[in-house]
Amino acid sequence: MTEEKTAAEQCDEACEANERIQEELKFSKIKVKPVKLTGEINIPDLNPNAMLGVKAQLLTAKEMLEHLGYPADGLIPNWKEVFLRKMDEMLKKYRSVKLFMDICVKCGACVDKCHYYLGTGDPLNMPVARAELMRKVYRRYFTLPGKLFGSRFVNGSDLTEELLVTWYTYFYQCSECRRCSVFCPYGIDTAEITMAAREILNSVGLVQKYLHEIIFKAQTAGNNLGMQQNAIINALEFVQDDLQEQLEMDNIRVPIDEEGAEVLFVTPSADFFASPHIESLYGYAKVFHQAGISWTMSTHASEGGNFGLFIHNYEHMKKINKRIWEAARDLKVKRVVGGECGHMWRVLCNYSNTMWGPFDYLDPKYKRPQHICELTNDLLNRGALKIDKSANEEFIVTMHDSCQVARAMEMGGMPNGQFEIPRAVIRGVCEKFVDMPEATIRERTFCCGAGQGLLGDDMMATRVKGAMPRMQAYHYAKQESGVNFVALICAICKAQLSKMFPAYGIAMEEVGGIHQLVGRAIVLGAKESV
Amino acid sequence: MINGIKFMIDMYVSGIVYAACLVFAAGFLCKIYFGYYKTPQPLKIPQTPQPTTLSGVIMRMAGDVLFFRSLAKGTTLLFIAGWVFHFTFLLMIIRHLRYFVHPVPGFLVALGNGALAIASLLMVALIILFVRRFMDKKVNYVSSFADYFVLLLIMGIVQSGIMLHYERFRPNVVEVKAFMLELMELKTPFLVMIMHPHHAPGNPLFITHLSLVALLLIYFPFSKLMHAGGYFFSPTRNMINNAREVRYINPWDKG
Amino acid sequence: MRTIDCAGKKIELDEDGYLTNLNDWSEDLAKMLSKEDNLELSEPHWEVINFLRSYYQQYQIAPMIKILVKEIKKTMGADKGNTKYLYQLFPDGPAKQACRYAGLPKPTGCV
Repeated sequence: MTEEKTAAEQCDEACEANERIQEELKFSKIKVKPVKLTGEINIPDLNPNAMLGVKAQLLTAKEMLEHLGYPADGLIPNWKEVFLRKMDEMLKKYRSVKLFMDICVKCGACVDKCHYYLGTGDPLNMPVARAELMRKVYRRYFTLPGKLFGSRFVNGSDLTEELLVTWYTYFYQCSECRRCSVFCPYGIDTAEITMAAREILNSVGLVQKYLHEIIFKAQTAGNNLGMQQNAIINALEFVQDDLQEQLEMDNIRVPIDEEGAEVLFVTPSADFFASPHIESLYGYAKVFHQAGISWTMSTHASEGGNFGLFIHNYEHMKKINKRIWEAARDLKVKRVVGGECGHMWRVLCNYSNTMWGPFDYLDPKYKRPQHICELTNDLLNRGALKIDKSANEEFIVTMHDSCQVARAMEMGGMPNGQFEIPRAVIRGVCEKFVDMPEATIRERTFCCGAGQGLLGDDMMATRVKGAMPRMQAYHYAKQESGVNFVALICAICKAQLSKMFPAYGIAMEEVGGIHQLVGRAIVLGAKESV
Repeated sequence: MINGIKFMIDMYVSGIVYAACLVFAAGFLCKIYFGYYKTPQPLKIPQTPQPTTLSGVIMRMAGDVLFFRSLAKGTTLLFIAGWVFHFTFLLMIIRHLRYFVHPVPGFLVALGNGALAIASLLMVALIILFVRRFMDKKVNYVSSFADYFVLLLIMGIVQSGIMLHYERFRPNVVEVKAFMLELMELKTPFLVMIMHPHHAPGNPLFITHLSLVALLLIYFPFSKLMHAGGYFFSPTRNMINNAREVRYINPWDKG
Repeated sequence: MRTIDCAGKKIELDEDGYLTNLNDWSEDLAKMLSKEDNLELSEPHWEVINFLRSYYQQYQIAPMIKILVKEIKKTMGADKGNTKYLYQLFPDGPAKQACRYAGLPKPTGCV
C-alpha cells in the first residue's frame, strides 16, 4: 500500500493523465429524440463524431473493481505497457481476434449493416471502422513494418489518451450482435473484437459500470440483480401463491431448491423481478405443471444470464456459469432447461460444455442443456398440452429474433431451429402470426439496441437511436398487418423494447415473452400429468 | 557494354522471380501456420446458418469461396464486381500456366482464345471496384492508401498484360517460355547465386509486367491479401455447430 | 457524484441520482428529489415509497413488480392494482424512479 502511494506521488504526470481521462469520459445525460416511424429503414449520410459525446458510465466502486481484479483507481500509470501486454494476450489466446485483425479487405459489405450506424450516421459505428480502431493499434505495434517504420507508414495509431477515449466511446456503442458478420465475406465478427477491446480497457482501469457491476453481483450474490436468497424465495413463493389463487388450484407450484426434481430451470433473474418478464415465469410454471414434469429453480444458480460473455474475460464467464452446473449436480436433476434469455442460451448451449462438461451426470435422452422453447415445442408436437388459442385472440403476433440466439447456435439439433422452433411455439398457441420484413428477422435480425452491456440508463442515447431499425420494422408490420404484439425470448430485449415502444409512441403492453402467450393459452387441469 | 546491360537484366529478372516466390511462399506459410493455425480458438463461435455436420460446413465454405454467398446477402454491385474480379483473375492465372508446362494441355489452349475477353472483363471489374471505393462515401471513409494501392497494382499487371497481347509489344513467346522453364530447373537458383543467370527476354513491357507481379507476391503476406488463406481459418465459418453433442476442448483450458 | 443540501445536511448522491448512503434518507429528501423531476408526491406515492422501504429493510432489494402491484391493490383498491397505475404515478418506471425517491439503490440486470 505504502509502496503504491509513493509510486503515485512520484508520477504526477500519470495522475494528471488519469484526471484528464476521467474528465473526458465524464458521464453526462444526453437526451435524444426518437425519429418518426415511417416503416422504412433509410441509410443515413455520414455524420462524423455524432456519437462521440455518448459515453458509458465508469465503474468507480473500489470493492467491486478489486473483486473483479481490475485497477481500482482509474487509469493506471503504466497503462501503455499494460495495454499492449493485454492486447498481445488477446491476440495469442483468440484466433478470432488475431485473424480478424489481418484479413479484412475493407470491402464495405458491412458499412450499412449496424443498427447503431443506421440510427446515428456516425462513421465510427460502421463495423469496419469500429474494428479499424483496434487494427490501427495492431498494425503499429504488432506487425513488422509498423514496428520498424511507425504508425504513419502502416496507417496505424500510437497509444494516446485520445485513442483511449475513442476506444472507450465506440466499443461501448457496439452491442456485439454479430449482424455485420453475416454479410462479411470472411465472417469477421466485430463482437469478438469489441469483447477483446473492452477487456483491454478494463486492464488499464477503464471499466464500465453497468456491465461490470452485474458481473460482480452475479459472482457474489448469484444473480444480476444481486437478490439475496430470502428475496428470491419471497418472490417465487409470491408467484406460486398468485398462480394458485388465480387458477384456484392448490397443486401448481414454483419449486425452489428441491432435490431430485427432473428439471433444473435457470432463467434471468429479471424473470422474477420485472415486467413484462415476470409474465413468462407464469407461463413456464404452467408448462411444467401441465406436462407433469417435476422441476425446480435454484437460489444458487438464480441467474441464466452471463455478462462475462460481453468481455473476453474467460474466467469471469466460467465462474458465473459454474453455479448452474453445481446446482444441477447438487439437486441431482436429470436435465437443465434454460428460460427466455438471449446470450444465456449462447453461453449455456455453445460454451458450457467446453467450460464445465462433459455433463454425463445428466440424462443423455435430452439435449444438455435444453431451451424452454425446445421443451415446449416438443410437448406441443406430442399433444401433451391442451391449448386454447382463443385466449390469445386479441393478438396479432410477430417475433423479434434476439441477436445472440439468432446468430449463435441452433435449436432442436437442426440448422435454423432457433428461428423455426420459437415460431412453431407461437403458432401453436396463437391464431395470428405475421413476420416482420425478411431483411430484419432471422439471421438478419436487428438487435433491440441495448444488448451486451448497453442496457444501462447511461446509454439511453444509443438505446433510442439503435432501436430505430427494429421500431421501423415493427411499425411496418403494424401498418401492413395490424400486428399488436411482439414476442421475445430475451430479458434484455424485453427491458429495452418495453422502454422504447412508449418512446416511439407505441403501447408498452405490446411487448412480452413467448411463454407469456403460452401461459395464457394453456388449459390447465384438462389433462392429467403424463 | 551490351553484355553488361544484358547481364543486369538477367540478374534482375531472375532475382525478382526468386525473391518474390520465396517471400510469398515463406510469408504465406508462416502467417498461416504460426498466425492462424497455431493460434488457439477457445470457444465455439459458428455463425448462422451454422451447419451441424462437417459436410455441411464444407458445403457452406465452398459456397462462400466459390460463389461469395455471404457477400451476396449484402450489396449486389460489390458482389458482382468482386466475384467477376476474383474469377477472371483466377482464369488468367490458370491461363499463364502455359508458360510453365510443356506440352500445353488442350484446355489451356482453349482458354488462351478467350484470354483478351477475360482480361478485359477483369479490368472492367477492377475499375468498378476502384470507382466504388472512391465514390461511395462510406467505403471511401474506411479506405486508406493501401486499399487503393492493391487495386492499382493489379490494374497495372492487367494493363501491361493486355498490352503484351498486341503485336507491337509482344515479346518472343518462345523465348519467354524457355526462360521460365529454365528458371524452374533445380540448378537455376544456384546459377543465379553465382551470377550466371539464364538469359531473360529483354522486352521492357514484359519486364514491367513481371516486376509488378513480383511486387504483388512480395506484398501479399504482409497485407489484407492474406484473406485468401485466412478465410479457411475463420472460426465463425469453419466450426461445426454441435457444441451440445461433441465437447469442444479449449486448447488453453483443458479442464 | 453530487451532493444535495437537505435540512442543513449535505447528502451524497451517485451519478444517477441515487443515495450513496441509504441511511441518509428522509421524507424531505424524497420531496426534494421528486421536485427536481417536477413531480408532486401525493398520498399514493407515499404508499409506494413506504412499502418499498419496508420491503427493502427485510430483503435488501426492491420488491418484484407484482408484489408491489398486489400491495397497492390491497391498500388502494382493485382499480389501482395494476402496472399502468404505477407508471402513472412514476412515469420513469416504478422500479427506477420510485426506488430513487425511496432511497433504495438502483436495480441492476436486464430490467
